Amino acid sequence: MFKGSIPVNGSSRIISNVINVFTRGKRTKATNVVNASTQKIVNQLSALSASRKQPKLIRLCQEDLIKHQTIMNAWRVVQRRNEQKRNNQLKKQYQSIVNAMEDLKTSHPALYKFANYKPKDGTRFPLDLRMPTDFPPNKPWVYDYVPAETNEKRAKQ
Amino acid sequence: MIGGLRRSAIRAYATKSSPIISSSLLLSRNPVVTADLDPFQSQFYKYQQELWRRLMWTFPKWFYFREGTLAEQRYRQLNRDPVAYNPDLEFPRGKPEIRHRRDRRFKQEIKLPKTYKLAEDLAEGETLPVVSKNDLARQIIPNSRITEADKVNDLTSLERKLSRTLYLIINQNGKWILPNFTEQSSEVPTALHKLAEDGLYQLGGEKINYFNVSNTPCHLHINQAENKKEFIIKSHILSGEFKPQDESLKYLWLTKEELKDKLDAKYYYEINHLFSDV
Amino acid sequence: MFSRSIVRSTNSISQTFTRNVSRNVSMSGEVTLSNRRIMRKIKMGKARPAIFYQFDTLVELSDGSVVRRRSQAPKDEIRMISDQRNSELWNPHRSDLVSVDPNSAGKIQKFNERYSLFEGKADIPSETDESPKQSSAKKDDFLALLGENATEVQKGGKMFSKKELKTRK
Repeated sequence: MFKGSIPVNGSSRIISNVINVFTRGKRTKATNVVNASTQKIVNQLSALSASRKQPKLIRLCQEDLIKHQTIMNAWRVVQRRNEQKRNNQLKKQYQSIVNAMEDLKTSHPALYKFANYKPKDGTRFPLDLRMPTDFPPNKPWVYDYVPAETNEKRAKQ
Repeated sequence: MIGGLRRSAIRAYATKSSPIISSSLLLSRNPVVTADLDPFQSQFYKYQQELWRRLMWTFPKWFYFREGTLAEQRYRQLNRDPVAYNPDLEFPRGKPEIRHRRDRRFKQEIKLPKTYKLAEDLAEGETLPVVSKNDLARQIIPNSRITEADKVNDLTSLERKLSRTLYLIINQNGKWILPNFTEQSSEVPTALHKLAEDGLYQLGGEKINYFNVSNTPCHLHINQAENKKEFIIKSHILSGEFKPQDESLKYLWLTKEELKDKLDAKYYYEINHLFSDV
Repeated sequence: MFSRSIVRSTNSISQTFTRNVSRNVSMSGEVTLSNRRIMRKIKMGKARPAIFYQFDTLVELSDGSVVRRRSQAPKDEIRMISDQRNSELWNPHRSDLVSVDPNSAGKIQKFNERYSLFEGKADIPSETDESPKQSSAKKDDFLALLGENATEVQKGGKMFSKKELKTRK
């Protein structure tokens, strides 16, 4: 059925005034038409897949390669050194805890018992502790701390 | 049960000849901002960052900006297509290889449309509109990592050296030490961490939010001169103000390196492993 | 997301994804992908890491501190309006917390600011006042727009309502 067919009622009479021009040779539709859901999957896959999106391989000359390896080796050396330093410090810290506790055990058993007490209610970790950020907040330090007990007291009064 | 233990402990150990047990407080202010990078680290990170950028795939523009939308139009205005290869032209940097509108020989740099006006895309005679502080679409301008306290070198401020751990030391009889507290009445022994807490409140007021790392002391320092055993308790200050209750009290918040100059050399050498390097 | 089955056609292999009805996926119709999409085998030593494009992003937390991070999404500035830093749950000891209205920068707020006069309320929200106050009054007083002399004309039949029936009785 053609669009420009014989008008039947009033509303289609108005439409028939518009002349449809058909041109041959020009393709109005793509050959590989995909439905919307296929297009969605294709888009998603294309964001994930490497085809035509990978950059060129870096081809280093011998000198640059040696430079790169030197940098990486230097980094590894520094890392190892830092790690050793940290491990030594942790060992020392542990040893000093052991020394302190051993001494306390003999010199004051009551305090030793207190020092070994670990609360089991799981509320040890403070909520107010914050991770360091790259740049400080507008107010670097919170000064107006109100202890919880006084807060409760105020509420009661 | 504990009460019985306490009594027996006093009977057995609290004699005058034995050293007095006291607790020292190692109160630290943890870093607020990330650690400063040393020159080698920052250079290495820059190198890695550039390698990473160079090896990144092309930005899938078609995925994030739908064709024909305003956002896509704005994106296209900001990011011009690279010049394609033309045999009639000379390319001193080599033949461009363009895939998905990106020269795959180099890193891709993409500018994004902003939610505010930039100084460089103003027309002549136009001035930047005044942006209110509460405007959510305003530009993000990070605060400086160097604070006012750093500029005036206020050693008693908690806001100094935000990237480092600070430790509290006080001056006692002309000597800088970690705050040390001895039990006043030896009737009932107080736990070491409790002793340190009470001492801290007496020293700096009750408006301190602090976190005691553990009830366990982390070090034992034997003070021969005063016949004292000082057990060091570690804790962090989280918020609140350290306000000396005694006006004459001198106190400082210092980093590890600064502690080395202030503390007694032998004392520092003994306890330096307790301090953090960052 | 979708079940996968391989359908063999006469000369080429094509993959057919059929919609999983049990999950509410916003897709209509079958997904048919051509065989070009089937992964080629990667030879030994030829694999390269998938490094997606990433933007250097500044994330501003609600208290003004800024974190630098990489992000795949095309946003280089992100402002958090409610997070751990101004949540009451995470700050039990603070009384000076401020929370910002999330709708104060959006298109709807802009529209309201511009056309608030048409809604019959005279006061335009001032710049300092961030939260938009929605008037509870109904906005169907079109008659006021027409003028004072106009009266509503009853058109059509009367609607049946139970309430009126009861009151009549």
